Amino acid sequence: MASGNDLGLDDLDHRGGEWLRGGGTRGDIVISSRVRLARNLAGFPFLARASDDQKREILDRLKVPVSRLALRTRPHWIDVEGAGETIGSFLVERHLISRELQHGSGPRAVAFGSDEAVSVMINEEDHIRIQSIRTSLDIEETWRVALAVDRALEAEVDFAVSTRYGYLTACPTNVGTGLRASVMLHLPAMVQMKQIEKLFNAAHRTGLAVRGFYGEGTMASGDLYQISNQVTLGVTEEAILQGLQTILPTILDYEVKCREELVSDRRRLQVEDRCQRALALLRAARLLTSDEAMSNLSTVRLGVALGILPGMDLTRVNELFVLIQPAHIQKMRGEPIDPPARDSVRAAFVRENLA
Amino acid sequence: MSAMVCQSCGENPATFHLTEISDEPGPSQKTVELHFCEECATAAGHTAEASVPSLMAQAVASVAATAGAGLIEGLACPHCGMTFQEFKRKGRLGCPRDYEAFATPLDPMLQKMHACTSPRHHGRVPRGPFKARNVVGDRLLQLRRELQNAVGGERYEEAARVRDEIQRIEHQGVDLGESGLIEPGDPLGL
Repeated sequence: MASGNDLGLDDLDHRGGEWLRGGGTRGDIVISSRVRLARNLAGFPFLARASDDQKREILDRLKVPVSRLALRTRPHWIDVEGAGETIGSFLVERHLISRELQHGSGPRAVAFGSDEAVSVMINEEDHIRIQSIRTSLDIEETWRVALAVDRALEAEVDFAVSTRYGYLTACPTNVGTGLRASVMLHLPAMVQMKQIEKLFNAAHRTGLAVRGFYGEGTMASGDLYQISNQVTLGVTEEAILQGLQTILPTILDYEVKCREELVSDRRRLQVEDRCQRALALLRAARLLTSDEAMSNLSTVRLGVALGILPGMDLTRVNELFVLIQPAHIQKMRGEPIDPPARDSVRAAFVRENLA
Repeated sequence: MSAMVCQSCGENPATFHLTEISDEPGPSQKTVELHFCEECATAAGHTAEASVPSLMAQAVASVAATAGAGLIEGLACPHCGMTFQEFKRKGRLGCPRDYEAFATPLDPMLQKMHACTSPRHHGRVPRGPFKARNVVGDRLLQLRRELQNAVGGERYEEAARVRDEIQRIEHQGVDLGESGLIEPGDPLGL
């Protein structure tokens, strides 16, 4: 098992996790499917009341069973406490850990396989957060993997559970199943056609939440939106997953209709122009902020999906959404660099990748 | 875009552009554009940490308005010492037993948050006799609090004794005595 702060992460700089590969069901719109389970150990206070000694004890207790999990590929274990700002942000950018874990206090860690399909955060908001993430639309398999990890851990440690409330979590918004299922959608046509409020309306009608690329309270950059369930208590896991799957066709249909409108005779030339310009900009820029990169990558991705930019690799475009983030650029460079220098490194990296 | 100035300090060029999704879910949910320089963005804490989830905040507000305030504010969990007031402030519970300790004010909140008529779990549960396990869990929770208090009060002999007891229970379990009626194979304790 690779451990330590930097060790074993170097090979991740230049490629994205498996969940960015694309090419699966509805991969033209659905970037990824994700399931997370919140769990706590019985016999310990939740983290708001836990001392650093207790957090350490929880971490030590979980390290062996979590490391033994069938993460399928070579496992990584990162002690986030003391890992440093860049590594913390790097893991957040890859969706391997949350900002809450990065900025938490005391002993805390993450374990994940090198394909990044499963990650287990320890001492985040709850003692244990299991995450399963897969490319394109594949909610069933994503759930099956998360459940297998949950079962494996449950055989080794006692979870805090009650007959009445189910899995007990630090925040009552997660109690019961502790299950949050979500899909990450690329909706550039709905944004361009000013129809994105339809996403919010559809989500609201069915009690789902809408978030940006990096979760709660973050920007919806790159026209990427996550939708997820909010209710976790009083329903079965299957009903939660079904709820998400029921609303999806409506949203996908909106995006498809908007894309069709964009390539209609009336607008075709405009959208071709926009996609070609975005690609030309990314191939020529000498300075590129992450914001500018995200926005143009989104347009290029739309161009690939619409067949306007033949020969472009969708996987590479997906991966770039993550690889151009600030901590990735910083890590690639191997030393702290200020934002203007970062923009230059980012531009060079994007040029090289879209050549 | 490049000529844009940070809306916080009004000096540096804005390099950090946020399209924030407003917290309030609903048809009025919308996006707001914000422009900061990197320093101000960091200083403003554009991260997901520390905010009480909006659903929680709404539920807390609605219950606080209706419940018999004085009595409920004073509620405290015997296992971790968390008071209901502290929970309302932080949005996070102190230990698994808080759900029962705060049931009176918390149940209506759960109903509202999870849009259910009765806050009762319908999903899967771990395999095995978890009622018996919960007895062990409760005892360990209590002992760990005693340990923390003993260490905090520099009562090291007591701390050592409690630590031994924790280890003993972890290896041998709790002597259930008469409640030995809790049998494996009755996982739901029904």
